[in-house]
Amino acid sequence: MEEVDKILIHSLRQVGTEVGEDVLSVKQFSSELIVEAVVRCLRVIEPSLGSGLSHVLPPGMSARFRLGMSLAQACQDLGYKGEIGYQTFLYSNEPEIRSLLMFLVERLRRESAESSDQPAGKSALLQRAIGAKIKAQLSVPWVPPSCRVPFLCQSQTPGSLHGFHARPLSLPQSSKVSRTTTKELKEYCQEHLPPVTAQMSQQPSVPASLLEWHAAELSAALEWEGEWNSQGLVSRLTPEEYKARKRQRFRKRIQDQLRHAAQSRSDSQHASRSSSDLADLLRSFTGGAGGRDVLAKGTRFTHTEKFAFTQEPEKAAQQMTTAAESLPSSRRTEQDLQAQQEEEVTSLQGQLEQLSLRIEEVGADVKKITVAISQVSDELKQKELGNAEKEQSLRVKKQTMDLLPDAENNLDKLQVLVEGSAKRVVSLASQWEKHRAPLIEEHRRLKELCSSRELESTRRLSEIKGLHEKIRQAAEEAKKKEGLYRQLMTEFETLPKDVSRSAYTQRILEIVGNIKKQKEEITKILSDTKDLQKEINSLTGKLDRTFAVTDELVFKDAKKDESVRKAYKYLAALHENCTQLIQTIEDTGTIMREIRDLEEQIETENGKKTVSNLEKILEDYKAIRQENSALAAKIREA
Amino acid sequence: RFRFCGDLDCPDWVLAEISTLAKISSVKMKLLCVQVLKDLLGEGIDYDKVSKLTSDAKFESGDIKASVAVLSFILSSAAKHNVDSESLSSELQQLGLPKEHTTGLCKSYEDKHSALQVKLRESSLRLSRLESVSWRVDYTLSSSELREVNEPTVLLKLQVQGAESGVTETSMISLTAEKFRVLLTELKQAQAVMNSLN
Amino acid sequence: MIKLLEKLPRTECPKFLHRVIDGVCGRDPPRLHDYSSVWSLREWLELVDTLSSIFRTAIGKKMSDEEVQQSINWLDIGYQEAILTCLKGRKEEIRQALVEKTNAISSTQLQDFDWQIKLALSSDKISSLQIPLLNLDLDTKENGVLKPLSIEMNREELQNLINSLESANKVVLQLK
Repeated sequence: MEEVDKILIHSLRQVGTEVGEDVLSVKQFSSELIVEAVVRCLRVIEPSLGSGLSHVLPPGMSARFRLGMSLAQACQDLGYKGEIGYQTFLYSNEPEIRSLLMFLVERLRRESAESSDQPAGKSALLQRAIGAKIKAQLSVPWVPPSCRVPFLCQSQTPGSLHGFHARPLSLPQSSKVSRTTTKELKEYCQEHLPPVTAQMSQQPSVPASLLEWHAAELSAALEWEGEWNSQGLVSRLTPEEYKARKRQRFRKRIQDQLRHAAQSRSDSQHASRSSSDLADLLRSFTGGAGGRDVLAKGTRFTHTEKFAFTQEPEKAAQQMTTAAESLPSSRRTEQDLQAQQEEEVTSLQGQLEQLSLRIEEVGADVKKITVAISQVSDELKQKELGNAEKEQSLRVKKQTMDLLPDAENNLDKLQVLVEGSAKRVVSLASQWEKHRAPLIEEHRRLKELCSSRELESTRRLSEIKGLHEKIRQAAEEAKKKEGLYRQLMTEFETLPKDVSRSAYTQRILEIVGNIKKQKEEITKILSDTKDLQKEINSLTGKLDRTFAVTDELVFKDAKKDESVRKAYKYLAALHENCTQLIQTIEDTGTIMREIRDLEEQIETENGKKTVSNLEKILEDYKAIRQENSALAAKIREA
Repeated sequence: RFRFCGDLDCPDWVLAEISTLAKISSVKMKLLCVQVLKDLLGEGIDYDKVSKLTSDAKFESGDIKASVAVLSFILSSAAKHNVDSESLSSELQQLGLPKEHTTGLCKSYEDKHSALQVKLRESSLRLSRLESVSWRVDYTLSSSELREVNEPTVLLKLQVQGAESGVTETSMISLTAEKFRVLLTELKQAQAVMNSLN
Repeated sequence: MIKLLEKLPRTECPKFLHRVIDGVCGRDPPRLHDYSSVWSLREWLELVDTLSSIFRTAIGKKMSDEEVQQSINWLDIGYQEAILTCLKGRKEEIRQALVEKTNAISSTQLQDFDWQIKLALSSDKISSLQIPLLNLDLDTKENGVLKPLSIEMNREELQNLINSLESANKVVLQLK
């Protein structure tokens, strides 16, 4: 029984029942403890059943009665077969409570075993952790800010005082700075670069800066790796070449677009300064050899612009001079002067209007002229080309004309020349063939080599890609497994440590061994009893037979002799008495057995604490009566 | 203690008005429930219909208001505490609502249970919401500070809806390519954390 | 102006110049307190200003060594070399700082950001909420004034944001 009680109490403690240290067996359980234990078990087994029940025994008698009833109902719902009612909880007796608790704990085991089969999951763990944390924080009293000890600051000071402010750091190893370390850079890093922690005047931004720096570097590396794996590898270039080519391509694109924009802009009327700026920019942007044509175009625009702009100042200068000329000759009277001035103003205004009109005209002309110029220059070019062609034909014709007078001779000469060149052509062709054959052979060979190499490289490439994929998969798997491992570890840590399987099994084995020993002893005793019975039987048989023989002998003699007759009488009496004696002994045995049975019964009845329970029941009854009367009084008052 | 009140005692006014509810027929009350549920789900309540439903019980306007209030309290509170319709039924019967009324109420509650919870979830307090994002990538060629910049910059336009609904604040932010990359990686990490939460 | 540099001994020079470059790069500039025996406040301000602008223009305009040397040619040759060495060593860093400055020309730029994930457990509307929320704090600088912007996002909104940032990133990647 002690073993069972120990296991029961242990399980109950796990469920959350506060069983005192000095409680060692179910016998010592008070009603309060029983109710608490049962409610806790119910809550674990069937949350919906248990959540409505309070684990504290209420003070009011009627409430106690109700709680007992509902507990009994819940236990029956769970499938408890034994006799159960409110009295089980309120007026407990040991065996009943034990069997009830055993039933509940058994159910508990099964439920918890089922739930622990599948891992509890991250979210459940998190929920539990949150719950524990909140509970812990709630249990700590609030302390005014000035009295907080460090561990309270963590939970009771709202937020961190420093925001996340990153500032640029100076570090030697960085993807931002090119890998080629110059001498000067090295010198700087060795002699003048302060340690990272000293680079910032505000301490809190040091970690922030470092974190941000690291994040930037890491993401850059990852991004590059991704790009390289997806595109760079296929291009079969070294990383530097790949980068350079990409940059070049992109520059070309931008250049094209900018040029396009500049062109369409200069076609419109506002060939303003910005376009020349843009041209400047383009020139500087392209910088290298690729930008020559842009430069040439830019100069054409700037030419026209220059043209347009230089004309205006000239006109202005002209105006100035005419104004200056008219000025000295106009020194008459005041009115004259005024009139003249007005006149002058109007005339000047007229002039100005005219001039602006002219400027516009001239501008239009200029535009027309520029268009015409470009047209004309195009024409010119075409004509020049035509000229060159014509000159060529002229030269040929002139030569033939020169050769005409001495026709015969020249014809012969020509014939010879033609023949000679024909021969030369033939010989050259044969020579060419001679050279060509090996070259073609060589070419073919090289081509084959090339294609085989290409094949090889594609194969390698795909291999590399496969490897990359595998690496990634392996890394991912490793990460996943690590996560799972960590989760399982935390779960394992949260599991109660003191339940050692081996201890249990050992105990079970011990118990089984004990039972076996007891069984052996029982069989021994049984066989002993059987032997004894047999002996008794044989003895009785012997006795009977001896008695019969003796009886016969003595009876024969008794007819003849008086003394023998007396002896016979005695014998009969002896036999009678002996039989009675045996009977009595047997009766004593049965009575003894009965006594033992009765004693056992008394024991069990004593275990039920009937008397005290009866007293308790009486008291409780009185309490209920009192409560009822109090309630009745209240009602009457109300 | 009632589960649909969050394991607290039922408020007195609810107790009082439950008896008012008992006055109308169970069919009418079920129809009233449908109206109240509509209101809770944000579809609007038809007051004419409500008054028509309650007319044969000779309800005054105060009674109508009270019954609508008590129904919306019961329904929203039950949904809030995630009470199943059976427990709600037994608890309402304990409070003295007739059996037929209870069944009608619980039936309509059961139908709209999840929709109601979704609605409550949506209308829970949020500090701000991100309405929309637009972006633009610029490529800086040159500037007054540096003649050859040749770096991309990202412009983000974020429309954030504040705590009071309807107030939308638009902010434009420009980021260097590097900052942008860090932001994106960090956000992805955040997303991973978020996804691991359930 | 720049002649003032010669008041400092030649050996002290690189240290001082590197601090000035730190200032250009957005960290703490040198303090007059450390050099108050060499320069007066007025001289100090002028010198630091001039040096900073020399460094900035040298990198910004992509000057060759000779061009830089020309702009400081009335300085003693030893000091000229010191400046050139410092400049060469920190070229990329200054360039990076200038890129940042270029970005700062726009009206609002992102200075810092920070995020936190919260799990909303419960609300007045529903007892079991269980919604993860991301708080994104953006410190933006608008016309030199720090302006915080805080955004709370749920899962869908975050996905939205990441999707649009991702598509922007694709474009940015092409530009590198």
